[in-house]
Amino acid sequence: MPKVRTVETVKRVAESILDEGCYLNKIVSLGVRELPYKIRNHGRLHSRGNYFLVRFVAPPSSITNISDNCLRDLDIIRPFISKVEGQPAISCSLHQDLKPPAFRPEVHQMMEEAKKRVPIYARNKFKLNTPMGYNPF
Amino acid sequence: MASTLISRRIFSQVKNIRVRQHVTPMQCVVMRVSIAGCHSGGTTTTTTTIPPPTTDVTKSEQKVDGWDLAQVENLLQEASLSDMPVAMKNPYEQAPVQCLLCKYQVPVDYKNVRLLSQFVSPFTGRVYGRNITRLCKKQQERLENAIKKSQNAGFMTVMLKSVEFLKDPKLFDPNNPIKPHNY
Repeated sequence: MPKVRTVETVKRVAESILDEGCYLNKIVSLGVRELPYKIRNHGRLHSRGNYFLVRFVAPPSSITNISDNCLRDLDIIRPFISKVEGQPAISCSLHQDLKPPAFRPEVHQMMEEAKKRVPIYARNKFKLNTPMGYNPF
Repeated sequence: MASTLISRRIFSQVKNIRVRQHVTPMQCVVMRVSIAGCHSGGTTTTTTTIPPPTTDVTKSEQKVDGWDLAQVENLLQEASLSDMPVAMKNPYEQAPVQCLLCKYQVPVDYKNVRLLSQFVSPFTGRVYGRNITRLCKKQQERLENAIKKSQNAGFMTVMLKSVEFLKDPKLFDPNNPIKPHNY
């Protein structure tokens, strides 16, 4: 695809975002790459593509519209919209996971949950809603 | 010189007594107090043999080398008490084992295909389980989600591991899992 066309495509996407009333933060080009697998789109099979990263801020209601516009665009092989999630620090639990099951807090949790659950024989038991307190039948 | 002879005689007839000390519940100190079986007799003269005194003497009256045995016992007890272990954190405790990604604080991103491919089998193209990657549960979850995202977005291969990543350094040995795998 000639460079002019790629620029036009990117512009179209950016405009569609702005038309929804959302804020554009950043557009980054990730270069031309061979696709990891062949992608079939709009009646064509693609093996190479231009990768672009577009950062924007939008309310959830307008994201469906943006993605819809991208899907209809003939020049876009695969649109992908994902939330930018920060990575909260994880306290590594490996030293506990390596212990034998009897000493793992994970397993203790599971056992406690199992105790709270209604046992199988009592789950589908018929509950008489009468004040009698016994089953007359 | 004489006293050493005497002391040797004593310790040839030694009785070991167990004394229970007041320590923390899990510990039990065994103290050995040796008490002679009988009195030390002096060196016997040739002409007259003095019969050794009877052994029916109470503990409190026994004396060895001028030391009152009860006193000695007390002294030993005090000494051992002063030598008791001090309550402190285990100084030999090792830092808890951390998984690779937690240890080096590696951010897992769906765009970082090279990193994600390191956790994928070069034979089947599938993500290795936690028993092989040796990651903690949360990191493994994060990794798997990132891989799915990456594959969906058209960044990462699905059916196999990309050829350019086959010679990347190995983060773990897939033939040495924590728990043996079914395959």
